Formats: sequence, structure tokens, C-alpha cells
Amino acid sequence: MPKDEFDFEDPFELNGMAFMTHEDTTNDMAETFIEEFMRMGYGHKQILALFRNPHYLGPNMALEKRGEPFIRDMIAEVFARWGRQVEWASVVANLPTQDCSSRRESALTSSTNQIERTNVRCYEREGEGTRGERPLTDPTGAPIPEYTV
Amino acid sequence: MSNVLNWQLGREMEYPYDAAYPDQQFAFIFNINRCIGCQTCTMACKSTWTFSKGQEYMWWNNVETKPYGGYPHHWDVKTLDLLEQANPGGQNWGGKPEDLKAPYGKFNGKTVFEAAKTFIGPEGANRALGYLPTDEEWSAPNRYEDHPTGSEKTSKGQYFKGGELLPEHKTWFFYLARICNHCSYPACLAACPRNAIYKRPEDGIVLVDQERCRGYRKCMEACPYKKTYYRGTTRTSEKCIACFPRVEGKDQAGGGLPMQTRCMASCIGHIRLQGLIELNKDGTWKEMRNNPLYYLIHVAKVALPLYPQFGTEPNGYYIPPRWVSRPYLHQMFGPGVDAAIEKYSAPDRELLAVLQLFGKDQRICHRYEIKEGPKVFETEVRGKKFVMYNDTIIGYAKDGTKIIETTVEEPLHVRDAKHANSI
Repeated sequence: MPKDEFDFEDPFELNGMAFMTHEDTTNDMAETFIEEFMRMGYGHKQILALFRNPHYLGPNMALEKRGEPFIRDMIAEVFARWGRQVEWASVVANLPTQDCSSRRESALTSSTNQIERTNVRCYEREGEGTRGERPLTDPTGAPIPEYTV
Repeated sequence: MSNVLNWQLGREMEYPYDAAYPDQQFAFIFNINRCIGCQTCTMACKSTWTFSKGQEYMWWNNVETKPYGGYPHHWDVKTLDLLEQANPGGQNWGGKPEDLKAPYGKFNGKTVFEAAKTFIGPEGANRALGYLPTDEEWSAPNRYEDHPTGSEKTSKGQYFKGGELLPEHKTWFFYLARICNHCSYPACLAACPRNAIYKRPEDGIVLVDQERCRGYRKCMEACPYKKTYYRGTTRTSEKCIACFPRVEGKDQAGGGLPMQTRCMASCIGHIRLQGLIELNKDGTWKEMRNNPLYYLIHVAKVALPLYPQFGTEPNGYYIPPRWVSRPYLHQMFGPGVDAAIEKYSAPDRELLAVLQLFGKDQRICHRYEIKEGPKVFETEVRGKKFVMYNDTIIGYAKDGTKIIETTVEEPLHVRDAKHANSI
């Protein structure tokens, strides 16, 4: 039967546990979230909204730890790795779908982080560049305000 | 005790009852890489099934911040510790992976059923090694968990007036969503002295007969995942029922087709995929090459069972998080972790398409087919050549109804602000 009282003297009552490593993998975690949600079709602003929202605990903790500029750079880095451009300065406008090299370079230069330059070839994507023309919503459906970033 | 085949362990094991397998088995996959700890699944379950008096501490679905949190507190550490005490240094894996009967090699240690014989308590040996969590351990599902301290409309630390900001975790962590695993060899069922727990022959869902249950809580003690709960107002145990009316196709929203559970359907991160699996006579999975669960678990092998060494053959599978300490993941998901993460980190053409099925439709996808699309992108991902094709994946219900059609480059449809929350 369960005990009625919490017994602090009970040796079976664990009060702490050892980790196998204390490695901080926040960067890898943040990168994974960005990549996963990007692959689900989220735009870079929506992903940033995930990180900004305190209710989305993991992303928000990464933003709290590393700061928003770091997260923005990482979003740009991951998008660039997948051949997608991120422009934080303004709402994404229609982009020429064939101008892959300039898009790639633009994405690279928007990041202050050192990112791995890879030999990327882009192919035409249907509907590219139409995101951001309408008001965006976060995953709960709430409108995302326009950021001055 | 009978000898039954536990394919997750790659060997036969002892179980109190003879093997008996359902026609179909309820099974699911959670992709931890996508879980951001929003608890939408938790509240979907809570608001559907456990909102009544006496169910306050029942969280049939919960999301834990690993490695700190857990509900009840330290459930996995305590069971692992009991097994280690029963078989010191012997809880190891070996052997070579084989196909359906030993995909992760062979577990050389003891399961909760085998260890029970050597762990004699005041009441003698139980049918399954376990422990009954204290009231304290059930009392706070949020202890050691991450929680928001502010909202998007307030500043940090202002969510509750006068609330305290606790030190944040400085090391690795991830979110582990859990429901009942509807095990093939349930420890709760084995332990019940009233035979009140049964596994449905039509879908393998494990249920507690509320007429027979007398609230002895042997199920709570035996379940290594601690997914049965005691209800003081009825003096019976209750547990996840896998939203069986939906799985039966009785939810009108499904138009008569089997539907995924509430927690699966509500997930905003699309981390969940649920299905029904057909079994061979020995309990192994029938080859259903184009079933998404079969593909992800037995072909791509990116989804792994949770603590398979417990021996209950859980039917919940997880795509392990890429960023987490490997020894911890080996302990939690077995020896298949490294290959799973390697495969998942640079997905091939089929895997990339099948991952698009997660969270796409509430109805259960029984079979998929892929229509090849144009190459859209090629690069190197973590040192490996990666080519992406914008294939179209089509999912079908068991009766052949087309329920999903989407592309790898998924279009994003944005609801305008006026109708943002109009559903």
C-alpha cells in the first residue's frame, strides 16, 4: 500500500540522480527543432515565433540561453543548408526561383556564424517565395506580429 | 510460467500466461526530434477522459522533461535499479541483429517477469518485479519539469505573481511523451489477482474491467512504465484506453474509418503516428512493407521501443533525439540507437516521404505509396550526400480510401488573421 507520509529517511526515495554526461547540447537541439519544423513547411518567422513563445518550452529555453540573434543565425544557417533563403529585414517577397546562387549567398551572408559551405544545387520549387505575403499565424493559430528584425 | 517469444529481446522469455496475440495490434511511433514540450497532447487526453473527480492525478498522456522529470517521479530509474539489484551487472545486450525475430540482437539480462522470482518481498515473489509509487511521487506531475514562467503577453517570470524562477537546466534534455504502451506481454495484466485486465483480441488494446477491479493496485506495482492509476472515488484502477471508440471507427469525424487517438491527432508538432499492425502466429509482425509503422520500425529501423529490456514488448516506439547523450539513449531504447540516428539524420528518399505522414490526418493510415517527383535539391548533410526529391506520398485507410496526399516539399497554407481561430 502506498505510504501516507513522505519519508525523507527512506533510502529508496531518490532525491537526485547522476547524469552520464553534463554536455550542453542546446545548439544541436535548437538546430534539430529548426530543421524538423522547416521540413514540415514552417517559414523562418514561424519558427522564430516558436522559440520566442515561452509556452514552447524547449525552443524557448534555447532562446533564453543563447539569445535571439543566435537563434536567428541558426535558422538562417539551417535554411541555407537546405537551399532556402532567409531575410530577416523585411517580409519575404516573391523571389526568382532559379537564382539559386544569389539566394544561397544572401542566406550565408545574413548569418554571423561560421557555417559549413557546401556545394549546393537548387532546383525549381513550386510556390517558393509566396510565404509571408499574408499575416502569419503561430502553431496555435494566433497571429504573429510583424517583427522589426 | 510459460515461454513466449519476445522479438524485441531476440529470445524467448518467461511470462505468467501462454502467448495469445490479437488479430491486430495497436501501435504508435513518437518522433522525439519534433517534440517541443507544449503539452497539447496531455491536455487533449485530460479534457477527453480524465477530467472527473478522483482523476485529478491521472495523466494517461504525459510529457516528461528527461532526464530530470518523470511521472510518477523517477519511475524508470527505480525500475532499472530494481532490475540491476536482481541481476547485478547482467543487464546487457549481445548477439547479432536478425530480421523480424531479433532486430536489436539478443538481450542477455532479466526482464521484470524473470527477475521477479529472485526478488522476494514481504508478500513473497510477485509475478512481475516492480514497486508501488508513493503518494508523494504521484502528487506533482510537474516536479523537475520545464514550465513556462511567462507568456507571450507578459515578461519572463511574470506568469504567476510572486512566483519563483528556479535555476534552469544547463545540460542536455529532451521531452519524452508517454502513454500506455498496450504491451504484447502486459505486466499489469500478469499481476492482476482478479483477472480484471485484458487485452482485446481485435486490436490488442489493454483495458481494465471496472466491474472486476477491486483496486488492489497490483497493476500499478507491476507496470514498469507506471501507466495505471488508482482512482480513490471508485476504488478501482484506470488507464489509457487508446481512445478505443476512435480506433473502432465510431467517431463520426472519421466517417466510419478507424481514427488515431486524441493525443496523436492533437499534436501540433506532428510527432505522432498511430496504426494497427497485423501479427504472425508467433507474435512477430506480418510483413506489411507499405505500412508506415512497419517501414519505420522494421525496414528503416529508425523507431525503437521504449525500455525494451523491461520485457513487456511495448507497442510504443520512438525516433530517438539526435542531440542526446548516446549512453543514455542506449539505456532507454536499446542497441539500435546509433543506426537509427544515423539513418534519420540523413534520410533517404523513402524515409523522407514517409515522415510526411505524421500528423497529416486523424484517420489511421494503413498503407502508403510514393509517386516520384522532381529532384529539388542536393547537398551534403553531415558529410553525407543528400538528394531531395519532391515526391508525393499518398496514404490509404484499411478499406482503400485515400486519406492523405502530400509532397515532401510540403505547401504551407496560412489561415488569415480574421479566421485564425475560427475552427
